[in-house]
Amino acid sequence: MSKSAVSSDKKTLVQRFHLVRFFSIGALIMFAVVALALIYFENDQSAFFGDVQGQQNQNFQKVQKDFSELQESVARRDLLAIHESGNVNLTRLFANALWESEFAPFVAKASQLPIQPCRNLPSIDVDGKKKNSPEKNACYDNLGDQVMAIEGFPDINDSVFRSMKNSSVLKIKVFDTRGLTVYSSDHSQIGDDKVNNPGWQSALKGTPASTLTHRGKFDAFEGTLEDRDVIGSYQPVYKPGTNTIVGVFEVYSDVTPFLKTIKTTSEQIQSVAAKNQEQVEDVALANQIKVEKTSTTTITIVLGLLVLLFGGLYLIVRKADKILEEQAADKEQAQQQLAQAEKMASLGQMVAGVAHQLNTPIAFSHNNVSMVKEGLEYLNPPLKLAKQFADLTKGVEADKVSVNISRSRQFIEEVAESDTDTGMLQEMLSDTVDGLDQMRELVENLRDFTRLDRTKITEFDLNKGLKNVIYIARTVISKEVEIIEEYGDLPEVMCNPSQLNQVFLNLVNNAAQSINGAGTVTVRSRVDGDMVRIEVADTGTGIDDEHVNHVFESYYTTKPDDQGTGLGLSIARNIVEEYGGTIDFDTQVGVGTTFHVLIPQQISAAGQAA
Amino acid sequence: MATKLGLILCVDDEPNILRSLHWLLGRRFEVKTAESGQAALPLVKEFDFDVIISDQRMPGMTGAEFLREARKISPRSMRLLLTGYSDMSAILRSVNESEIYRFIKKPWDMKTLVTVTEEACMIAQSEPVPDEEEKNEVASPDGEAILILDDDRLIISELETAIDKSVKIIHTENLAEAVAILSEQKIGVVISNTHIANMDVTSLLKIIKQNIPDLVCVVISEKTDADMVIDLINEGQVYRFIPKPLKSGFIKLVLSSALNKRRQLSKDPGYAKRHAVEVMSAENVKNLQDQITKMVEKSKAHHDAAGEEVPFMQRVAGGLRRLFG
Repeated sequence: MSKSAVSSDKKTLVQRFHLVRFFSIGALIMFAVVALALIYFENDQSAFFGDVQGQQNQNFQKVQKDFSELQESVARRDLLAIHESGNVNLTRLFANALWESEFAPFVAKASQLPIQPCRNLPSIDVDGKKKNSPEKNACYDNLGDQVMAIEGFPDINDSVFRSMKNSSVLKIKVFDTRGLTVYSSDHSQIGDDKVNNPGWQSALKGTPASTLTHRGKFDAFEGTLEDRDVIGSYQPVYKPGTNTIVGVFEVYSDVTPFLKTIKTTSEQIQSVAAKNQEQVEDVALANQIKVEKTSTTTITIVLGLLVLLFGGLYLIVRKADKILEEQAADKEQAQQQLAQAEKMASLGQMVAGVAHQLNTPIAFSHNNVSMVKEGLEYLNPPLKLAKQFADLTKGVEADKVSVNISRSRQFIEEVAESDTDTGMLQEMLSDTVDGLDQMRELVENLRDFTRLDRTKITEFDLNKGLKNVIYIARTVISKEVEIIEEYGDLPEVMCNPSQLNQVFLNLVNNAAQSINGAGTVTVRSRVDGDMVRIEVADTGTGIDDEHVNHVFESYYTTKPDDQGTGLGLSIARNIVEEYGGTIDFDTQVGVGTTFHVLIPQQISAAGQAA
Repeated sequence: MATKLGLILCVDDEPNILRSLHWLLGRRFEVKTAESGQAALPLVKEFDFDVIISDQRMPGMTGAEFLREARKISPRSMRLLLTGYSDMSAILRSVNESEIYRFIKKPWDMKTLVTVTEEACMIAQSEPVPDEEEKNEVASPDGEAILILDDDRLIISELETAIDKSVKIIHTENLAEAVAILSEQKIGVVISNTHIANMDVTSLLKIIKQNIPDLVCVVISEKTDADMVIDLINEGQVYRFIPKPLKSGFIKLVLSSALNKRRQLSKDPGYAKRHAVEVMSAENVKNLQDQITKMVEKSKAHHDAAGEEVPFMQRVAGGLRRLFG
């Protein structure tokens, strides 16, 4: 037992899709996003380019700076190395020329002077640095005086001054192996202790040590010099022919002009570097401007293209929208035409039915009238006879008259009994009146059904409408189908009777058509709450599951092409829903289908307007 | 009161109609009436009716169904069917078994109805029905041939498989050729389509039946055009209709029944009166004659080219003489 009930969905008003509006808004937003993204990325790219350029500038600057610094330091190193080797040679020359003959005995003597007592004097702390105390300095000064007091000192001093004059050597010093300054061209320094000097210590181990220093004031052979760059070299002094270090020699040479050249070169390099840097930065700036300009151009062009694209799409969409609108209009028109065709089809069916229905009364009425006409001819002789008799009686005043019937005998014999049976003629005519009544009833029902002569909306007794519909339906449906009418008391409903008649006729016709052979269609009506309920139940084949969900669909039909448009129930539902009512059904295959129509007693405004 | 010509049964669900018929026919016939097929059948069993007139559209049982049952009970009764305007669609279904003598359209013409009824009554009384010895064999009496008039190869092959090999089959697609064959050969049964090459064959069939009353006609029809069916029965007394698509079982049944009928007709030439046709109007006959003449001329050229021994026109002329006198 499968029982399925399907309610018609509330007719949803399909909103038209505003294609152009939605497209415009949607596309504009999307295009704006694309444009913003494009601008963002273009800016980002030019910022990145600027960063890269800045980095390149910095790198270039660093490279140039490193390069000029390296150049200067290399120049200084070379200067030092060149002078150091020069000093080595000078020392060798000095040693060979002065050591054996003059310095060796002098140093030997000076080395005899005790240095330890001075060294043993305590040092003092000045600003965290160990410094000789005045006593200690005085001790060393005293030691210097003792050295200068050694015999041969003035000769040595002279020799030194002689040989060093007009050379680049500014000062020389000689130390014994203990660190005591035994000679200095600056005499005040004689007696100083150099035991802690790293240059002296290095030279004592056989490795010369040189330092380049700038001196604001320098006591040289030629007198006191100012603002000098000086290289001082500690050189070991070997006893000639041996590897024995017998003293340490310190030579100060003036490299101020060399260093000046180096500085000038360095400055030149730096100025070139600065110029280069400036040029690179100019180019970078120009590039940046170019890049930004290109970026702006790109953005402008792309934005222009986007606008063009939007414009083109807009035109296409508008065209499409127009076409869709036209198609919708066409479809609606086609639907209206089909609805009209459906109406015409059901009208045609109705006309055929009515024509057939008229046939029966016409057939017997025609037959009867023709027979009465014939019958009247048979009445002619007896009536003539009667008239003659009447004429005869009028002419005489006596009650008794003798008539000679010899002439009329033959005539009278022709009068048959059946010919004077006017009762039969009357019956025939009364049947004919019945026939005419049937025809009149049919015409009245037709008029009621279409209601062409009534205002559209009126108080209407639905039961009367149903009777009318069934009367019309009977003309077309098979006589094997029995129609049972079960009407409850109904209030009058404001409606368009012709529309509702169409609905009910459709339901009754469908019900009858679902029955193969004999069966019944039951039409019921009753009040159901504030609604009026009308049911059309049949004992037909029922609706197959595959069709159940399509019953109210437009153009859906199981009937052959020439018998159904598939619009009947679709239109019926539209009509019922316009009244604010509902239409649904339950069905069981092999048992039958019942359609339920509910119409409000007080119909909605929409219905009134319909 | 004059003696009644015969016993008649009228069946209609409309009492007015019954009364009217009673009045109309009551002068000459003894008339009984029934308001439905079911109510009429016991009367058919009880009385020996000469003519049974039934309305087609009745509740419970259609007129054609009732007449089919009535024929089984009382084969000698002649059957008339009254039909209204929209009853036609169901007719083909039951018309074969009912073997209706005439269809009478409502509203009827008084004189025609009386004349037809008198005619039918006379036939019923004068031409007894031979005992129906239904033989389920498809065999033709006296080596008679079956003429198939159709241009549908499929149908021809289906018919050929349904018919026994012993029965001679002649097949043509040409109406003029068919006319010639009818005059030359012994043909017992004609099986024809309603249309051949878009040409209406029904008028030819009607005229054949008018002139050769003992011929049995079977019509293959595609469309159930009720008016055409009614005309073919009234004017052509077509014995059976075979609706398309063909069903071989049904074809066999129809053919054996047709051959059986042919046997009965050939045994008793008077029996053909029971299948007498309405006489065609002179105008219709003239039209048909023109039509066939035209066709003959059309196919003449074709046959001349084929260089046949007996000139085609000569053959057809014989056939035309037989049909039109």
